[in-house]
Amino acid sequence: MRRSRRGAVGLLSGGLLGLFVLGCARPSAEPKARSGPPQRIVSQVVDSDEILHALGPEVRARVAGVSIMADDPRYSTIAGLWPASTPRLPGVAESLIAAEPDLVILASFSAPQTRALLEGSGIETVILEGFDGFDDYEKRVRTIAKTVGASEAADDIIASFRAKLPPPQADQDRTVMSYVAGNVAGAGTTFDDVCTAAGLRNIAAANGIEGHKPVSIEQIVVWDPDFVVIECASDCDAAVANVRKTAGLSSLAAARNGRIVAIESRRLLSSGAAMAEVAAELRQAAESR
Amino acid sequence: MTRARAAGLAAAGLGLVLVLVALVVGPGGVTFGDALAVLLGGERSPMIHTLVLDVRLPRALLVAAIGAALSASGVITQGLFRNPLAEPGVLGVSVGAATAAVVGFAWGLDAFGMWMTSLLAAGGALGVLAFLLLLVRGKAGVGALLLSGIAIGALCSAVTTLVLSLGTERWDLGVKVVRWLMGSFEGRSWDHFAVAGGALIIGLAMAAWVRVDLDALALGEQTAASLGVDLQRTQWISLGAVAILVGTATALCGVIGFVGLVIPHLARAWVGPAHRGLLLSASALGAVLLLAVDTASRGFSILSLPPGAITSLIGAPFFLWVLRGLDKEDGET
Repeated sequence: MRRSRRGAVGLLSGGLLGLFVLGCARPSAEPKARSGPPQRIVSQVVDSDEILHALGPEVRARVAGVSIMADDPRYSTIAGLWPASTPRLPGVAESLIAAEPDLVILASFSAPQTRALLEGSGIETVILEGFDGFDDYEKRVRTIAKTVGASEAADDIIASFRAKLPPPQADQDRTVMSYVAGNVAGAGTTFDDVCTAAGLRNIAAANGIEGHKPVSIEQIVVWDPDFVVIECASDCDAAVANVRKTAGLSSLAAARNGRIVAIESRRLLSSGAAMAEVAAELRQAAESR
Repeated sequence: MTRARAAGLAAAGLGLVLVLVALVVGPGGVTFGDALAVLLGGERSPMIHTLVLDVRLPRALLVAAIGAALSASGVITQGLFRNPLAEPGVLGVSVGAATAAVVGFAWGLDAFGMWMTSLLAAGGALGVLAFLLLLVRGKAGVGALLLSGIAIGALCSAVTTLVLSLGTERWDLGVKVVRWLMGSFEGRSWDHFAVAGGALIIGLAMAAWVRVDLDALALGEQTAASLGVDLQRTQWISLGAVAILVGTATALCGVIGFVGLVIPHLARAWVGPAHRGLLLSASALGAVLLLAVDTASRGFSILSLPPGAITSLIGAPFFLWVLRGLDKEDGET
């Protein structure tokens, strides 16, 4: 009895060791060779959902899945535009592999395990990096367009983006600050580029803030920007009213002079084409208020 | 003058000085002269006026009230459970409040006004309290109450984790939740202080009502009962006081840890274990220390640092140092 138990334990240990060695020795698969552009593209970033949609019907027909954020109006500027027949895929490796893609578009913040599993299964991936301004956006458009074999369409998208930007303005005397979830946006953010395009000076960047930082309200009182930009989900008037009721913020010149500008979250927080619309809206607000 | 009264007076004096210091620390170059002038109705620039009267003074008073509330609730919890490691969090009240707030963020209810999250958190705290009171009504012992609180806390934490995991793609949800769970005094106004002050008065009054019962409870439940303590009534009132104090603090400022555990120990080492002096001195000490921490963190950086993390960063090593001192004293006696 004892001998047979020992034998079973030995067999089990040997089996586990063998599986371990097999797992370690298993070579990762090379991306499958393709004769032409990818035919089953899966996007896992709301930004690439938007860019793929903008690349036109020929590219859209080759999309085998978009991110589950594509239809969320809080984050996506193309909510409801992808046909219902295009699957919305969660960022889980097995869902992505089951879609049988030949190209998956991920972002630098996507789970590295998912990326490793996809690449280990021989699926080509493109990792989007840099979401911090106009240059990054144009770079991503070109990267995606080139990867899916539609480089010419990238020029049209970029030209359209630039055309929507307000004409350049030299003097940037009036100051602006974004205030989203307690954070202000400093240098190296999409908002900083939007400010410059709108002809306004980002006061957080001017004061040495880089990236998105939770600056204290008393510091904001000292800065006292001419304009404050906030996000809103649906009721933008209520969002403005909330800021005007917040201790400290209520005394800002922007609050007193009706210069709190509420912009829908999906556009204000966009790192895509909507940045141009926000810049134009800010310029209009600056000229009218 | 008793030691407790002297301690209370010293803390109150120190508190007043700290409030004045809090008015000048931070950006804007506000001087003591500016602060006093604004407080006495003098003329200063609108910016200084706003910083002193609208931002710093209500914040300093709120911080003091929250420090006092959390410390007093720590005294009550440790007295009720006769356990020096007990803290308000073990009853699950603060976690219940946090879970309700997190669910509110996930459903986007925070968009319905700046008080919505506080109301939801208060509702969560009340829900946990109602459950605990039901247990007391069923004549549960103190041990069962403690374990139930831990179980409720675990359940609420699991719900919070689940909500967060289901919304991993929503970065703004993560930012809101993490920011709220770390606690914050940013943007708090006179209205917030009025709510906190009211809750503090009610909670302290309830605690004072059972202070003698809590002293007797230190001798054990049976001995306390033989001395005429109505155990069920003591539990009801104590739980109610803790829920009001912690629930309000969490609803207004998020989760701020360590204060309810550390301050009662410091106060006990100072004025002794009798709850009459302990409640007041712990409240005063909690108010002073939390205000000192908040003022220092504001002076340290223009960024809004989470008070919950700061109190734990300072409180944990300090607590270890105090415990070491107490161990040495025990060894010598």
